[in-house]
Amino acid sequence: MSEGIETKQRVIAVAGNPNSGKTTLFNGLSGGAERIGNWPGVTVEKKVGSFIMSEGSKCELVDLPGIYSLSASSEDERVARDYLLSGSADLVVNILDANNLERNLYLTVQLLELGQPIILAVNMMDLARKNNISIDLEALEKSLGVPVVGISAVENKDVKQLSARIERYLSQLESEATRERGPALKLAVPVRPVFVQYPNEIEDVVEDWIGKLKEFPVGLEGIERWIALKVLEQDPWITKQVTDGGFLDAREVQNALSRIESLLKQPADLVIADYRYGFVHAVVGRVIRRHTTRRSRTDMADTVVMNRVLGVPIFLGIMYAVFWITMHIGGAFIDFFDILFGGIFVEGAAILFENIGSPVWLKVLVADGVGAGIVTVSTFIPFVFMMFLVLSILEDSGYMARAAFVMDRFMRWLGLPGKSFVPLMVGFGCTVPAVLATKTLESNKDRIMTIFLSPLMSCSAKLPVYVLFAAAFFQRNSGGIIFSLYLAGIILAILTGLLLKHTLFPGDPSSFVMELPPYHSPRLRHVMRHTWIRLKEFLMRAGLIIIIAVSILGFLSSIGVPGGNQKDAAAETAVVDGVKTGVTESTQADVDADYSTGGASVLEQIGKGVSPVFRPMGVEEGNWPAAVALFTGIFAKEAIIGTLSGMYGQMLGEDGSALAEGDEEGVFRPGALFFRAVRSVSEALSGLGSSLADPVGAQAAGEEARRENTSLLKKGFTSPVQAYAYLLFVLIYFPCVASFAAILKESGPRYAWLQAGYLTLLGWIVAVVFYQLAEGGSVFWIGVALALTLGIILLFRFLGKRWNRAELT
Amino acid sequence: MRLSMQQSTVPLSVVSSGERVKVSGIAGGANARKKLLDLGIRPGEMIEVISGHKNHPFLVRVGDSRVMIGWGMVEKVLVDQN
Repeated sequence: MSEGIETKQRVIAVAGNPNSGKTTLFNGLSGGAERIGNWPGVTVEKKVGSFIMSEGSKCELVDLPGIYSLSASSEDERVARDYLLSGSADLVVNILDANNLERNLYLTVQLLELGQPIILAVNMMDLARKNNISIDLEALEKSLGVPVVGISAVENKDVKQLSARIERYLSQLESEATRERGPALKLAVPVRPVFVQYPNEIEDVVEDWIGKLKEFPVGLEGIERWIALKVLEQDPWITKQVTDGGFLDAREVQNALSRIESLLKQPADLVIADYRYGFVHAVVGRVIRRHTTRRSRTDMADTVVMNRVLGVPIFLGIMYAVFWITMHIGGAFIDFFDILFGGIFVEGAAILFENIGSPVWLKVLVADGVGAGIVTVSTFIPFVFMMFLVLSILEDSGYMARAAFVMDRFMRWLGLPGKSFVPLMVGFGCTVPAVLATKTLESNKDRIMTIFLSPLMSCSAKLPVYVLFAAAFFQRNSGGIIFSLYLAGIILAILTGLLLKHTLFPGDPSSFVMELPPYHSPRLRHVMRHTWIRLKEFLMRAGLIIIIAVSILGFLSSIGVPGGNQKDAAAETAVVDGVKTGVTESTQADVDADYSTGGASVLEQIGKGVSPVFRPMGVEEGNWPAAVALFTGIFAKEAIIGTLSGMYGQMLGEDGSALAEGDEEGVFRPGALFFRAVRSVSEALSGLGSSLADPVGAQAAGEEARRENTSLLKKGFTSPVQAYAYLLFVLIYFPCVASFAAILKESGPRYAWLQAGYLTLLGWIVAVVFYQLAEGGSVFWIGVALALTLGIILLFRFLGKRWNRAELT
Repeated sequence: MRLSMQQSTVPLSVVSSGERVKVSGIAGGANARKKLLDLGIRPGEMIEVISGHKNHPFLVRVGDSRVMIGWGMVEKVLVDQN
């Protein structure tokens, strides 16, 4: 390599159709080391790795989103195209599916027209052979004038062969560029052959425009022809750049378009596509030797899975399985993490701080604040991991695309595409993975709308709260009462969907065209990597927010507790031993312990301050702990139980927490801790058989509730109606911090805050209307609630008109 | 353009499952057209309707791939029916 080149690291981009094996190839070329980030300004994932040459130097390897063409209509396509236009890539590795060469070459032609140096990797050659498709790679190389390598991206030796070819091609380009222009920064050759000759009507316009586009500012040089064609293809983004920049007049463009359409009897974009396909068709005719279409196993599977009668039951069955696996297999490991991390970061840290004789406030801050935060995050791991694992398997197997087909009709009525059903279903387990699962949706609008509805799918952390109240107030009907809350959530989600469809996001759901990938058995490595990447991202982003929030909560509730550390630790130990279904109880343990030790904390003052707001829904004046519990519930929904039982106990003058009876040892024993953690997993898993009919884990939650002194609740809530109204509010209001962190990241602050505000207000309205209709009888408050409802509708309508909808398409 | 005597141009939405038809044109805006063209649904191409029911997405075979077309778009694909 010459000296000038060593200063600049070469960049290789991997581009190709979705489902062409791009990710597998990227992983193979990068050797697995990659960094995940976002493309600037969008939530499209950007993967960057390193391609290591045989002599040791590195190239940057960039994975572009899967695309079908360079006309950008989705965020993914725009990202990929903008990257290519910027000229940042020195070489593009274009991966193609050998089994679908014609359609895949459509993108290749456009890459060639762009003038980027490219190398073709024809993937899945093994499968093509099985399908009786024989491809003459040499002929393809000659037809297109670029290097072609046939591979199977899962085979190591094939990837090595491709790597060698990439290296050779890079150095060839390098020396050509150096010979022509001296040590070069860019490898792209400025003069390119015309790949596709379009009809004269189009070529004339293009020729005319090329002159005017000479100054058009793009990273890549010499692509005036390409830009002119894009304008004729009515690419909205390019057209805007060109007309705004004054290179072409908007009227001039319009005239050219209508002239071409009247001459050729077809719109220009269709003609251009037709010619590109014609070119591809001719190439394919020379390259593919034998070709028989067979009826594959995929077709046979689809006749069952996508059957009009069987499709929906099969889909629901699969969703039930997803749910069951997440809740029970994943749930079985929650105590493991809780005990292990709780033991280390809360108990262990507390003992450590005591032993080194640090001040109490520091111990409280580190162990009960930050420590408890870490425990909360850790207990999310099994749920999120399992959910992502199962969803990755479904996605990798090709089923996900079928689910969209099956649920399309119903979801479209709500203004959503069929695909949205999957994240919503996930929401019954936990809102966090539900929000993250919306990434699989195509348009931003669909994504934000689905996120809006997902917290209304009652998550598993809310279940213990329902169970506790139902046991105290509705003994015989408790099952029905709990079910009615789930149903209320679904009905509200449907109504919210209809509201959004008619106000904030008007118009039909993006009408879609999508390829159904063939089924294949999930690849373990691929699935695990995918799951791990998602989990890591969750832990980094949401984890930080949860730790900060829980730390603040722990701190707030600790102020005013003079030296009550013995009880803190005792309560935590006891809770940690308990059976539970929710996420964590360390938050709850904090609250239990703090309130059991007496003293007015900041939290209590907050509770007393805000409780009048909840009076119209039946929270009486003396019942201020209910308001405090709603506050702590924002941090983790199941913390509501702990807060209530702790504070009612304190009001009664009892020692309070019935939980605080554990074995305070005062010694940190990692061995015993680990044993206890492992035992919790085997105990939880041993009960799996009986839980098939219990996907949400109501049984276990019931056990937990029984351990609480339910009669305490009756000190606060004087009637079942009050209790039910409160539960309705708990169902609907502000999502927990973990969910909110995810929503914030996926929807952006504007929609995230609107959603949180909407949910809280909706919760208030529903609870108030229910309470006033059933018991309160105040026409005034019903009127206020109805007025607020109207207010919401008007606000959404106003915002729908005001906010830029272009960004949502 | 490609009409012969016994053929008539109809939207894809009236074609029933199992039929093979030739695409003759695409109605609708440039964006919808682009999405269809990207997946190989273009004038002159033969497609087979694997599953097609009113108000449901259509499942069609195009070349070697299976493509799902939402109901809204099914009506924009014009085909020659024998």
